[in-house]
Amino acid sequence: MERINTKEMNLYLIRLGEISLKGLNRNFFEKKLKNNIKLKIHPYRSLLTREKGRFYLYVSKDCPEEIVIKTLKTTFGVVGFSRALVCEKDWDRIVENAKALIENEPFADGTGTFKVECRRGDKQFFMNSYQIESELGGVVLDRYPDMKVKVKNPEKELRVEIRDKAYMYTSPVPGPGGLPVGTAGKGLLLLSGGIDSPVAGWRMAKRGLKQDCLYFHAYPYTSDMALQKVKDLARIIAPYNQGTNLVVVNFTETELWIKDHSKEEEHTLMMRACMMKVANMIAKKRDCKVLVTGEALGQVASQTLESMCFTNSMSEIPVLRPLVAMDKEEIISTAREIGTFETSILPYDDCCVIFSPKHPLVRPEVDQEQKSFTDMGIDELLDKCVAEAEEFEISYHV
Amino acid sequence: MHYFDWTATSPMGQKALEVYSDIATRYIGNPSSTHPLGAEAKARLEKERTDVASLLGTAAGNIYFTGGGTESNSIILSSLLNSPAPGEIITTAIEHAAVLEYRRILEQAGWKFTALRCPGGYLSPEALREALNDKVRMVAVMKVNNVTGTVQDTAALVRVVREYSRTTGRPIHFHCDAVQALGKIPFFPEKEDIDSASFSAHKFCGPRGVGILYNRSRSVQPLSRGGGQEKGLRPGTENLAGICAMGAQLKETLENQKAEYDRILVFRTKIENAVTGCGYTLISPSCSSGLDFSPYIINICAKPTPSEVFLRVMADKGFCLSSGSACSSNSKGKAESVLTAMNVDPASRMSSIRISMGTGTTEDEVDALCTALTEAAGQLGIKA
Repeated sequence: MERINTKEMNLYLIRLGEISLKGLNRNFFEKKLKNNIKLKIHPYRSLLTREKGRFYLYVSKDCPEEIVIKTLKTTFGVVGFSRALVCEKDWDRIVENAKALIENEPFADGTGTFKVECRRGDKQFFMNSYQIESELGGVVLDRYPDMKVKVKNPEKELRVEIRDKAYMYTSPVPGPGGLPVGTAGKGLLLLSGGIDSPVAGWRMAKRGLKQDCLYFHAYPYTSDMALQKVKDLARIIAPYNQGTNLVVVNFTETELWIKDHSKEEEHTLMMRACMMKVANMIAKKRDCKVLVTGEALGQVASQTLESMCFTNSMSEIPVLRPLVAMDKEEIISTAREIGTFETSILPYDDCCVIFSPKHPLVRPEVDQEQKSFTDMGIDELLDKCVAEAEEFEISYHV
Repeated sequence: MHYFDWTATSPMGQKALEVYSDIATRYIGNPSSTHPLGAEAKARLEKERTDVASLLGTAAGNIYFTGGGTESNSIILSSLLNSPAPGEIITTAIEHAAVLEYRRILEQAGWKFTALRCPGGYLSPEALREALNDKVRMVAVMKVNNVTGTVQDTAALVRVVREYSRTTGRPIHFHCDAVQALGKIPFFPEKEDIDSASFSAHKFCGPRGVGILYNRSRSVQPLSRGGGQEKGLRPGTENLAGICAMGAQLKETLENQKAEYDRILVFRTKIENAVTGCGYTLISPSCSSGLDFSPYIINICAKPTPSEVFLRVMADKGFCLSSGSACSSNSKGKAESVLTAMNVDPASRMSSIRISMGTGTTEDEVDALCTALTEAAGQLGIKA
C-alpha cells in the first residue's frame, strides 16, 4: 500500500453532526461519508482520519482549494469545515500560521467581533492557554484594527490546539448537514423542469437517499430545450446526490393516446397514472425502493389529497413527497440556496398546453379513475416507453 | 434546411458583399476627419446618400443613415420626449415592438399613447379620422405588417391627417415603419406626403446593422448626443462600407422588384392553395380577397397544434419557419399581440405560423414546403 505523507498535504477539519450520535452503526455512516468525500476529490489524493468526533481531511497540495470547498459544501453529513494549518510547536511558526489563516474567510473582511480560543493538550508547552489567546488576539488586532474582541458569542473565532503539534483553524464554514448519501438506500426521483422536483430530490438526498432521476419527454410537444434544462438541473443536484443517472422516457405516444382515449378533465390524472406505472417499472429494473416526487399538497389540481390518493394507488412502491407540507416560498428559498432556481424558471415548459385540460378533475374517486385507466388499454405503450428509455450518466464531480 | 423566414432577416447578397469588401478596403478614413482620406470617405458617403435618396424618390437632405429599422423608429419616437409639452401619439396595435415598446416611456413622460386595433389587419381612414383630436402630435402607421403581410393604405391615411391638420392649423407628424415594404412593393414616402419612414438593410439582402431614416421634418430632435454625424440625428462614426453595400443592394433589389413580386406571388398562391386544401386556415388575406397584401409573407393557423410544436415538426422536416415576429418570439405573448389587435380568435393565435419568402426562394423549395405542410397536417391532426 502506498504511504501517504501528510506533510505534503493540506488539512481540513470536518465537523460531523447527526452521525456522531449514531450508536453501533456509526461506522457504517462514517465509512460512507469518507468514501463520498474521497470520490469527489479524486483524482487528487486524500486521506481521512477520525478523531474526537471530527474528520481530519488531508488533501494533496496540487488539488485546488475550490474543489475541496465545493466538495465539502455539497456532501451531506458534513456539518461544517475549516481549513487548518499544522506546524511544530514553535511560537514563531504558530504566529506565522495565525497570520496566514486570518487572511482568508471569515476574517478577511477585517470587521466584526472575534476571539482566539486555545486548547493546550500538551501541558509542557511554555505558554499557557490564556497567554496564547492574548498574544494571538494581538496579532489579529494588529492586522485588523477595526475588529473587536468578544469572548461570548463572537462572530469569528481563531482556534489553536497544542497537542503533538500545533493545530490552528478558524470558525467553521457551514456544510449541508444531513446524512451521507447512500446510507438510506436508493430511490427514483421524478424530475421535471420545474422548481419543486429538484428540491425534493435534494431533500431526500439530505436524508441519505441516493437517487436516479426520471424525466418524461414529449418531443415535439415539449422542446429539446426542456430536456436540456432537466439535464442541467440533474447536473446541479448531482454533486449532492453523489452523481446520478438520468433516465429519459419518450412520452409522446403515451400523451397522444391519453388525449384520444380519456375524458379531457381526466387527462392530467391519466398522465400521472402512466408516469407512476412507468416509474414503478423503471424503479424495479434499477433496484430503487421508493419514488420521490416534488408534489406539495394543494399546489395544483393533480396535487389535491384525492389526486394524490389516486396516483398513490397506481404505485406498488412507496411514493415519498418531501415537499408535501411546504409553501411555494419555502421551496423557492431552498431552490435558490442549492442553485436550481434560475434554471428551473427558464421558459421551456415540460408539458404542452394541448395536454392540459382547462378544467381538470380535482376530487377524483380512486375506483372510478382506476377504471378509466384500465379502459384506456395503454399497458403495451407503457412497456414500450420503458424498453426504449434512454439513460444519461451525470457525474458527482463538483 | 430550407429557409422560409426572410421577414426575420435575409442573407447578404453578392452585390452587397462585393461592395462591402471593396469600400471597407479602399476607404479607410473616418468621414469626419479633415485629411484627404477622411474627405474621400465623406465624398463617398454623400454620393451614397444622393443615390439612395434618388431610389426613394426624395432629396439627399432627407436621408439619414442609421443602425437599422429599430433605431430609425426610435429616433422619431424618442424625439417626442423633447417636446415642450406632452400630447398624444396615435399608432396601430399591429406595429412592431420597435414602436409599441415606446408606450411605457411616452406615458411616463405624460403622453397619451393610442394604439388602434386593426380588424382583419387594416386600419381604415375612418377609424383614424375618428381617433384624431387636437392633442395629437404624431401618427405612426407601418406600411407592411411583419406578421401577416397586410399593407396599409398609408397615402389615404396621410390625407386624413392632413385634412384634419388644416382644420386645426396644427401640424401632425406622420411616421411610417416601412421595414418590410422596401424592395418588396413600390413605396415612395415623399410621394405619399409622409414625414418620416424607417428602413432596414438586412431585410433586402443588405448587411445587418445598417438602416435608413427618411425624414423631412426639421423639428425632430434626437435624444442621443455625439459627434454631430448625420446632422446630429444619428451621431456616431458612419458605417461607410455597410451603407454603400446597402445602397448597391437596394439598387439591384429595386431593379428586380416587379419581376420578383410576380414570381413570389405565384409561390404565395401555391402555398395558399396547398394549406387551405389540407386543414390549415389562412390568417393573412387570401389572394382572392381583393385586399392589399405583401405576397412575401403568409400567416396560417395550424390549429390545434401550438405554434412552437408545429415549428419543431417543420424544423425536423428541414424547414425554418417562424411563429410571428422573430424579434418577439423569445418573449411569450408578444408574438400574439398583432393577431389580437386583428381580432384573431385566441386558439388561432396560439397556432399561428409565419412563412416568409425572399429572392433566394425557389420553386422547388416551395413545392417541398407544400408537401411538408400537407404531411404535417396529417401527422398533427390539423383541421380548420
